[in-house]
Amino acid sequence: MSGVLHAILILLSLAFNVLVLNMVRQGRAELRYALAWLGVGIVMLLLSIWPHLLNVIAELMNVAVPINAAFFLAILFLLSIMLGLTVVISGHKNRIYKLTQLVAIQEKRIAELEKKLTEQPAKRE
Amino acid sequence: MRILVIIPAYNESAAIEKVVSGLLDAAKAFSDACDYIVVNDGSSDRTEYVLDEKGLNAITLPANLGIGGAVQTGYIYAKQQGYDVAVQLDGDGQHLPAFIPELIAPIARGEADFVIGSRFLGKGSFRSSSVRRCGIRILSGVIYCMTGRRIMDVTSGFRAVNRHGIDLFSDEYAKDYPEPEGIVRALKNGLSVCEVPVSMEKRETGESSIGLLMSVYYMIKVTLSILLIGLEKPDGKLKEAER
Repeated sequence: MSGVLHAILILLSLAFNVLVLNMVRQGRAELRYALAWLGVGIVMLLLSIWPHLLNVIAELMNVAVPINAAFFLAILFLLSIMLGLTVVISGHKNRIYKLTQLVAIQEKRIAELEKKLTEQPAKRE
Repeated sequence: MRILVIIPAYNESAAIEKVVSGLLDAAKAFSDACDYIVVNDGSSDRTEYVLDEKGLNAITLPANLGIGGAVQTGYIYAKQQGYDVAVQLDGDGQHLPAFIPELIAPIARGEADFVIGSRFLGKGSFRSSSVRRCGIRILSGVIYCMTGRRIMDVTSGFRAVNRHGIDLFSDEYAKDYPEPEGIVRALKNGLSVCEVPVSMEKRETGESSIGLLMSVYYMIKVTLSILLIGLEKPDGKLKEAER
C-alpha cells in the first residue's frame, strides 16, 4: 500500500470518529446508539493503521481473499444495526400511539372543564 | 348497564352527523344509558369543524393513527369512564344502529364477552366482490385452525364487548386491519365470542380502508399476525381465570 493511501485511510477513519463524537457532543445522536458507530470507527482506525490485521482476521476465518472477510463482517454488522433500529422505531411508534391517544382524551377533558368553569360563574350571578 | 358507542371517523365530514343522529334515534328505543363518542382520527377534511359546530361528543386525535389506534382510543375512554359495554359503529354509515340491541343482548344475558355483527348469518344480502369473500373465508379458516372456533364475518367492524373486552382492547389492539386480530386476541385471552346476524348498508361516503392493491399485503399481514398471536403464550388474564 502506498504511503499516501495509508495516510488518507487513517485520516478518513479519524474524521469518522470525530464526526460521531461531535454528533454526540452536540446532542444530535444519543451516545447509546452512537456507541456502535464509535466501535466501527475504532475498528476502521485500527485497520487503517495496521492493514496487516485484516489478513490475520481473514486467515482466522479461513477466507482466501481478506477484503471478502471485511465485506462479510461489515454486512453482518450493518444488518444487526438495522434490525436494532427497527426495534427502536417500533418502540417509538407504540409510545407515540399511546401519547396521541391520551393527549386527545385529556384535551377533551380540559375542554369540558373549561366549559364548566365559564358556565358556573354565570349561574351564581 | 351503561353503553358507549365508539364511532371512529376519518374524513367523514359528510356522513358523521347523520350517523350520530341515526344512532341517537335508534338509541331511544333500546336504552336510556347509551352514550356515544366520535373518535376523529386526525381527519384532514372538515370533520373536526363539523363535530365542533354540531356539538357532538368527540375526541380529536392530534395525528392520524389509523383505524386501530382510533378505535383503541374509544376503548381507553370507555375504560376511564367506567362503561359496562362498548359498541363499535363505523363513522361512514354502513353499520345500522338498529341492530345494536341484538349485538348487546348476548352480553346482557351474560352469554358472551364479545359479540360480532355478522353479514354471513342470513340477514340481508351482502354484496361484495368474490375476491373479498374469498379472503374473508381464508382468514376465517386460519382463525379456526388457531383457536378451534368458527367465526364467519372476521372483518366485521360492527361489534360489542363487555368490561373484559374493554380492558383487553384498551390494553392491546392491532394498529392496522385490527378486526381479525381482535377476535384471536379475545379468544386467546379466554373471552367468549359469538356472532349475531346483521345487515349492513353499502358505504355512502368515504373509501374502503382496503384498496385493491393493498389486499395482498392485507392478507399476508393479517394471516401472519393471527398466526403469531395464536402461538403466543396466553397471558396473565387467562391464567388468572384458570386459577
